[in-house]
Amino acid sequence: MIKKIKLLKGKKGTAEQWLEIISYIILISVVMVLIFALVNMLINTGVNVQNIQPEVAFYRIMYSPNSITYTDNITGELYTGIIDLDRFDNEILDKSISYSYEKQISARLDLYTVIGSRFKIKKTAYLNQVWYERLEPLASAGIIGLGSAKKFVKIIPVTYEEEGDFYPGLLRAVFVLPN
Amino acid sequence: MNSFLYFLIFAVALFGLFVYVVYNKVGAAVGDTAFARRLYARDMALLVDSMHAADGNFTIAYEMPWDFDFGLTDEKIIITEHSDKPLEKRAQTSFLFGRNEYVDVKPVWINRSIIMYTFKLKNDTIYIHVPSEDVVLPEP
Repeated sequence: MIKKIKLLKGKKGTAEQWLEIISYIILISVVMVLIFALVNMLINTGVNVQNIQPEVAFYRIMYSPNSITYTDNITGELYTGIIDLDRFDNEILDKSISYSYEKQISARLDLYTVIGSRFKIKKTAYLNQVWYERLEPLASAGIIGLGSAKKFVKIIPVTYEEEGDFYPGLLRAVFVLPN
Repeated sequence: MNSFLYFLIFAVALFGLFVYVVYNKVGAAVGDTAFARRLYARDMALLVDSMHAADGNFTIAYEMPWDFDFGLTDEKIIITEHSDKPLEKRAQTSFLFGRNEYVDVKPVWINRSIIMYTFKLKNDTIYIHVPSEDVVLPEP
């Protein structure tokens, strides 16, 4: 490039030289900005735990005492994987996990019952319903940015208890986590 | 001076500026403890979160190799660099954990002189235990 610029001397007029030099200046500036952006991007000081939070919340919903899990009244033993249908509601879920700042994780839990070879919704409950309803449409639409959220779905086979009897079912949990 | 000389001066100045900015940026990132503070705040908060699910007693040993002070409140973990400044004037990193009305969290403030301690859940109370009985842990 320098050789070329030297050759320009005496062959072309000043205006022509400047026109050519300006293109080099732009090129150098763009390359430097790109390198800086790359360095900036590779220096990562963020810690993203968005994939773990729904796992922890799900673990708490399914395995905590005083949550939706069936507990033997006499022994106090917790039967993980068995859902107590009487406790499967918004109030119990909100009591089992709450944050001082409400814009936190929220979830919709659909309990399906098995009828023949088909599944039918038996009951639905929400964790932090207000924020679930606000953020779920944004998360479903794939909108990015701080105002939006991410959606995580978990489906597991469960058993549910209703009036002393146990039935097979399926639990579909949709977690919405604000960005 | 001709246009080539102007170009050369500009290119050298631009390159110098570029090296200076990148050097400072990388230097700040290397010396910054923000990543470690964020990591430990999240790790401890998720640990306390998980402890809420335990049916029975639960003990976990935890080590803090960094020069940080940290606090456990009833809603979050707060981490700051160790300093003599009042807490409000330090850069804080915090992370919320999910609480509930069945488990109590005993607030505590730990300074850097303690690097090994245990998180405990006993009788529906989560607290931090330090091996030495002489250490009195203040509240945040």
